[in-house]
Amino acid sequence: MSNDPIENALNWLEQGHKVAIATVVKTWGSAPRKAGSQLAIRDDGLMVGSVSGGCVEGDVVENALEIINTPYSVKLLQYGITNDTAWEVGLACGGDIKIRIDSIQNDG
Amino acid sequence: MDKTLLKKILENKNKKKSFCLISQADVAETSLVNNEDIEKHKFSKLIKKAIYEDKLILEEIDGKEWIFNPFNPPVKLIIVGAVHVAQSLSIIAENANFDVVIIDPREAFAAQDRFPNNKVICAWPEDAFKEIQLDERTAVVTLTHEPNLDDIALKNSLNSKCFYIGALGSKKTHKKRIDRFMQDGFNSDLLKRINGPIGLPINAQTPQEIAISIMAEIISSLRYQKESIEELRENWKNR
Repeated sequence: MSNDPIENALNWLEQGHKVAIATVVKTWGSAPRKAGSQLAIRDDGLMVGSVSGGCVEGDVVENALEIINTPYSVKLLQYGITNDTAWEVGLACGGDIKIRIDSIQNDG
Repeated sequence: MDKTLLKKILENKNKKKSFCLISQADVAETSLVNNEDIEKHKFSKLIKKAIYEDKLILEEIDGKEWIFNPFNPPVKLIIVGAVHVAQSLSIIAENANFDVVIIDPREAFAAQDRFPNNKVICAWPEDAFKEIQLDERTAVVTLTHEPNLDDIALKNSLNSKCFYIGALGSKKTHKKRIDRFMQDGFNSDLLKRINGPIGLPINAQTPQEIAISIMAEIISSLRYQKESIEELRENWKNR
């Protein structure tokens, strides 16, 4: 299996799955993955790629699954030690990251 | 984003040219600006900055946040000498998403079976280099120990913009190499571009370990600013 998120997302769409793609759009401080890093998410929770060192992927997948049935929509998320959810899904490295999730429209 | 866009992204990736995705931060509509259209785009400056820095830019323009997500072709690694170290190096470089090409005129070394996943050119470096562009996103490594093979590759690299040049060989071998090149008219500042002995000093012993030390040095050259890398390198080498 390729580890390219876009390639996997496309394959999943062709197999009839619903798909979302998360992208790191901003980082502050010591973030584990640089801006532009991507994670592809399939409707059954399978994921390829990364947006952090594994610290927030679980929560990103949950958020992605919430919009995955509404194709062509966007959700913005922010994680960091200043975030309310810091103790649950924050970044251990002390950085802040902003993530955009796109649910992909399967346009045939 | 839709499936048509994902297909376009993959097509452009396969062309191995830079391109950029643009959208407003909270709007689904995303456009792909391909390499040929960057210059005439209204945001060409930001697109070029994102591509040059190889990093997504989030920028506020007229009260709205815009995303510029650049895609660059993989970094190239040219390995001269299809030797044992090259076999390991090609595997770890490939895994780090480098585009690897191996050059060696000696058929026994340049056997495709030894490098199942990479392009192998069985030719003398001067011929092989004619079909390879050595640009800012290219690293060149020479591993043959044979001056008649390594030197021509190193001279081509010194005359190019490639971001990394490394040559296998002991301190003594490297000193002799520098003397040869100076006699051929290369000045000593330019010759500092050659990393020799090659690799970060991790006391590597096996071909596999040497490959890791080379790869670490290539990545440090790619990711550090030019000024800080020289200082760091001094510290590393003097450890």
